Amino acid sequence: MPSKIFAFLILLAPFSAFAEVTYHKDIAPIVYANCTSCHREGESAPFSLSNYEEVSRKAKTIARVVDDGYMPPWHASPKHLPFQDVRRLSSDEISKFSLWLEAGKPEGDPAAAPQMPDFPKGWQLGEPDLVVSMAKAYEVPADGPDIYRNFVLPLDLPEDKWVKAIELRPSARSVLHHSLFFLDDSGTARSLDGKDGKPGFSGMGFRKSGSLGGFVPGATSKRLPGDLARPLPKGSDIVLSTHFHPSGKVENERTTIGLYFADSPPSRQLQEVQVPPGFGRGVGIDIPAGESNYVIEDSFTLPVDYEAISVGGHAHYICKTMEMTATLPDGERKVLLEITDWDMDWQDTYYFEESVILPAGTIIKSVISYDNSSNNPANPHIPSQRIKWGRESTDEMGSITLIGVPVEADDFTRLSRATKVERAKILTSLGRELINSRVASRLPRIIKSLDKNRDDNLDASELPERMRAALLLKLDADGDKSLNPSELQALKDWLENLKASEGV
Amino acid sequence: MTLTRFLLSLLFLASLLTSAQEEKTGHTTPRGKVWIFVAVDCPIANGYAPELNRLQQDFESRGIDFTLVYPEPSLHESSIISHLKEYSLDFDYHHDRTHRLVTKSGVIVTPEAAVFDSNDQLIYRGKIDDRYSEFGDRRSIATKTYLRDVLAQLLAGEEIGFHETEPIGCYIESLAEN
Repeated sequence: MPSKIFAFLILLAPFSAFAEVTYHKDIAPIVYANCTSCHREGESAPFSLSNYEEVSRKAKTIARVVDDGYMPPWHASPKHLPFQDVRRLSSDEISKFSLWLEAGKPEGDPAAAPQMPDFPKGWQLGEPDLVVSMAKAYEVPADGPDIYRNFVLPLDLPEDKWVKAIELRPSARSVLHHSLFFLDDSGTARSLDGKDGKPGFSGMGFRKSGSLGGFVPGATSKRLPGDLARPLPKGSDIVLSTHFHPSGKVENERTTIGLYFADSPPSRQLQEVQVPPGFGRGVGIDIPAGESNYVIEDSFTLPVDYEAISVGGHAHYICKTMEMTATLPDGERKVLLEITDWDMDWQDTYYFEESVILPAGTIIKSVISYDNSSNNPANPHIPSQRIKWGRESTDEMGSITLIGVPVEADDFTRLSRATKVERAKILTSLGRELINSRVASRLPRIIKSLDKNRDDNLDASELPERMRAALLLKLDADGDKSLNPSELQALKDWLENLKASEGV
Repeated sequence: MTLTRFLLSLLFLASLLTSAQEEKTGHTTPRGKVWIFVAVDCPIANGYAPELNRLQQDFESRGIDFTLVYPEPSLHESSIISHLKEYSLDFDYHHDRTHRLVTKSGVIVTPEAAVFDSNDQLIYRGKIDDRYSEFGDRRSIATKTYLRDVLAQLLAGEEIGFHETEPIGCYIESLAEN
């Protein structure tokens, strides 16, 4: 008898590689660790993957999308510094799905199944300190192009707050693709909201006074490390900048967000380092139609020691690749982020496994490439058109942002000032625009026509909305949100100097 | 004009109108049929619901029969009904439990179209249009309307051999072997 069993086992041996792959032993651990957090009841993915039945029903599709690298969505190259909460499968894990399929999707022994992680229902970080919802739902049509829309959430906070984390709960999961959280302390966004008869407004016609990060499905909700928190000054509104994908049926989205506050102000203030600044405005993105490899680059030298905790990129449809490197004063080169297959759908923030210390003098460099040919399926224009920097999704942007803190709390002002100087690049590009559009040569007449109340000052409300913020930042020396004759003379001098230096 | 002649010509006119009406409402023999394979939970297939409605609207009256085919054997009839309702799909449907239609047409994903001419010959299999070129690569507007073009050619009486395009979507799982 035992010898017979032995013979049987010998016969089976060549097939053991296939026979070994079962759902409970091999597939479930990968799925629960990488897929189920979104692919479960009540979450944003289109179907559940939480048991044998559900995974088996989608086995071929899963095998294909993991092989393509489309799922799980994770675009940061794994070759460089390690990140937290990585959603990327090893080649061994990927091959298990096709082996399982070939074997006929055996279920295997339920006793071998891993414990299903304890996924929280509802708020992932527990009950928030403040919950705010959109006043009215926004209707997303059944089909047509993607929609970008901003919604104002008035907070009317009586005091300054510090935000550790924000969570977002959509009401129509299948259409809400992602949201960014901006702050507006001017009331401009409030005045724009609903102007076209529908909730919210399109375009970025307000000056962001801050940012609280963003929400991308699939990203893990987390509190900022240590005592770090983002400032939320009293009087600020939150502006949700939301990207919708029509789903095939009309849906109504009424977003709710939950804010988690810190008990006390942080010991060190967060400072973003965005390269190039202004989401690429300053480097003059201007991509000819048909150009398949248009590259922008920019760098910034850190004036103080800096501790980077996360990195993320921003661009629109036709971006292909982006890379941010740090060259340390001793010559060591670190790649902070590399994306070789940019996908606007998955704009994630990547948290470093361990925060990265970058000494003063480190050069942070970003290189971003675009494909504006008609071979690029993501190109929103058919046939391809010249694409310039702009706020609409069919325009382009391009920047990579580090989030972190100065190593020494006292260095915040120096770092903050340096990033402001860096933002002056945006003004140089604005100045160039003014010269090219021949505004510069007709300046006295233009000032006269803008000065509606004829007091010889240009008040904020008299400045063209598009360049209001930039002009005030550059020229409003006394900070009264109005340009007096001497400040306007400075505008004239600046444009003339710029003209001379560029030989226009 | 005698009264008889007048009545006869009226009758003749009426018969002309009736045949024109038949032509319009497709009461004549179908000139082709389309099977569109879909799933209740495939986001790519669901995204095509408005286009499927437009296709049916544009071609059904001209003699093309449309059937939505649900190839997932374990689906409940009630899920199909609620899916049709949810996406406003006013179509005839077939629940292909045995994969007879899947086998006959050779489709592999949802959404995928199979077009047969009036002799029941398969003349097209594949994408509805080129909005998807890969998972995640989605054009906002189609530049090639494959299914629409095949149907127009079929109605124009053009000689069309079989052709196919590579479909992108959610794979149809093979039937469990017994």
